[in-house]
Amino acid sequence: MTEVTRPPEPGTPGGPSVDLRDSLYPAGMQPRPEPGMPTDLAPELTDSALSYETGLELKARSQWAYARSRFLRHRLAMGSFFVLTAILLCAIFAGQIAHYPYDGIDLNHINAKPTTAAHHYFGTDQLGRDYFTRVLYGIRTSARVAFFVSILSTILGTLIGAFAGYFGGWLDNLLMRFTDLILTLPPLAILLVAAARLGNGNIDFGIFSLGQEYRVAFILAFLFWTGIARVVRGLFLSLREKEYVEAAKASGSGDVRIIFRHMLPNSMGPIIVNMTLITAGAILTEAALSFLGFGIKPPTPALGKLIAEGETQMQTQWWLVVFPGLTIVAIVMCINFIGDGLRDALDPTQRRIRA
Amino acid sequence: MLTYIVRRLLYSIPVLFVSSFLIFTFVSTTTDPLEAVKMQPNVNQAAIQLVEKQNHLKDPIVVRYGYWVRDAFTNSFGKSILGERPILPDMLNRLKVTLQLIIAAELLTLLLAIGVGVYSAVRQYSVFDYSMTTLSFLGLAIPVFWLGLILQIVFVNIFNKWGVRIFYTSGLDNINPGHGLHFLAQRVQHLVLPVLTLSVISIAGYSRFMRASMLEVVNADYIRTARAKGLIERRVIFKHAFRNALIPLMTLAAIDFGTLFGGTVITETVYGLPGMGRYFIDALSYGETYEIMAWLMLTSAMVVFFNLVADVVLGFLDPRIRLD
Repeated sequence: MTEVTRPPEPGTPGGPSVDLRDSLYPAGMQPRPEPGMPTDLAPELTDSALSYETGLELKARSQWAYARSRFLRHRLAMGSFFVLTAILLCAIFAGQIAHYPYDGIDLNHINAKPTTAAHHYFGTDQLGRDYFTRVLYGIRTSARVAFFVSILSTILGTLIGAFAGYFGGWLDNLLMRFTDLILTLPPLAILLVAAARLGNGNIDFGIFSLGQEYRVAFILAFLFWTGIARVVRGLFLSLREKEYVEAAKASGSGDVRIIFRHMLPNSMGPIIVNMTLITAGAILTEAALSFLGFGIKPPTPALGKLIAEGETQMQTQWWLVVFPGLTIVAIVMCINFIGDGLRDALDPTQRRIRA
Repeated sequence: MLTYIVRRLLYSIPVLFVSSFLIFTFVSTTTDPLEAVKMQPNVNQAAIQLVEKQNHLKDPIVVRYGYWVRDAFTNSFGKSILGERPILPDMLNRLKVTLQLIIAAELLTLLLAIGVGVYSAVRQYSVFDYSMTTLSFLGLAIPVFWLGLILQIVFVNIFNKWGVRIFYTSGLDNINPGHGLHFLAQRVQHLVLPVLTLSVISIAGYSRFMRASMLEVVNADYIRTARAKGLIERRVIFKHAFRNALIPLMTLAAIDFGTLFGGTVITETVYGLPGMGRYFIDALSYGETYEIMAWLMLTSAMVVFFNLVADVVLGFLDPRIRLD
């Protein structure tokens, strides 16, 4: 035996290491030492310096440490993670990487094919705008929308789902009827109606204003939270019956403390996995909205909008459509693979049958 | 069974009423059919006020909703405001196109997904299984509109290069559609690419679903029993495993079919098909409140109806489930 581990204690990220004997056996119920078993084993276990000398390596690891190691071993997820990081870094440092401003016009290279000459890696459009630059800035917009949508809808969905699942009653009923209602409506249509009139212009808060991509993100978030609310509600319905919740109640914890301190950390796995799904969905939906002309409007470059602009001359200038699209595919695939790895790492009970 | 169906239908009536009121509030506050007209410089204000009065556009929401419900029941959703087109007949014409599209897409999806799913479950961890898994991840990451454009580029380029018209890339018919078999052939040539575009995501999702459901069944005890009593493998798979694995997919397919009525917006836009999705986009760009409303009601009624169908189908296929 090279590694002695205790069963992971839920919800203590990086928590203190607990004496092995305490966690495994209640006081006074330690097993009798078997004949032949070294009787001085137990005192040594309390002293980590000594345990190495006996050849028994003892490591108390939290559930998050397990999840981390499982994720790091997931090759596809790790590979996707690096690719996605690279793509995002390129977008963040677009100003430094790109050789042109995103609306800059290069009159010497109009409708240029993808070429390394003059750094038009993704070609140029009929105005001579460099599509590599525009794609980089488009990733920025898409990433902003996706990030904002996933954060906002996760917080909203988790809160609503948690309260509905924990308290039940009229709140639960209201929530479930509302999500039922949302499910019967074609989501894209509702988004289109909302975005057609509400999705224009910046959001002004007086002191500062947010770009129109946040307006689109707000609209998306109001449709995306229902899925996560359902998941969290289901989790809370089952967690509510667990003994540790009862114990927390018996020792006098309030509802809010039980929800945020005891139950929420135990639901983090599915929540995080669903968050990746939302992120991927948000990127695809935003691209579709912008493509149809109801999402992000020029001059802000967005991947969907770039494809729509290239559509008119796509038969001759195919690169205007191909490269922004490939970028979307790459990003969404990476996110999906990461989500897959996270599911395996955080949520072993729901583990998909591995291919 | 019959009482169950009737009860579900009766239950869906208040649901549709409540949701229609919420949708109405939402749509009528965000759209204004006269917006574009009002912005023109020399517009006759009296005429605008007349139209507003005739269509009760300035009344409170609840009153407008009342008029709308009356129109919906007695006048088949009334007429559009700008073009004065009858809404329901127009939409039913569009529905014919969309139905051709989604029935073909659903059939193609089921055929391919079941085949792929069963085969990759039976040959788990084979090269085929791995490549299909990879392909399905790819399929789930492709934006529908982009796939449509790429297919158009490919087939137009084939046509330009070799002069072979395999598939048409836009529209529903030629200018001279022809008759009989000729008509049918060119209609199919028009519909292949939209159907393919619409199916790709579903095929990716369904084949994963079918594979998982098949794997679950294959590892069940009664399959071991079937093998133990000496049945040949083909019989075990198709007679014992396949039928049971199909049940969850059938429910999923029935539910999804309901959502497809309102789920062809992008495909129809890309391929220029005069179907339901195109109708919605047109209505939206003109801000035609009542056309949008009617469209949303029809599509969400379809979702409700096919959810019921899914439950009933499940009740028929799985004797353990009793609907009453």
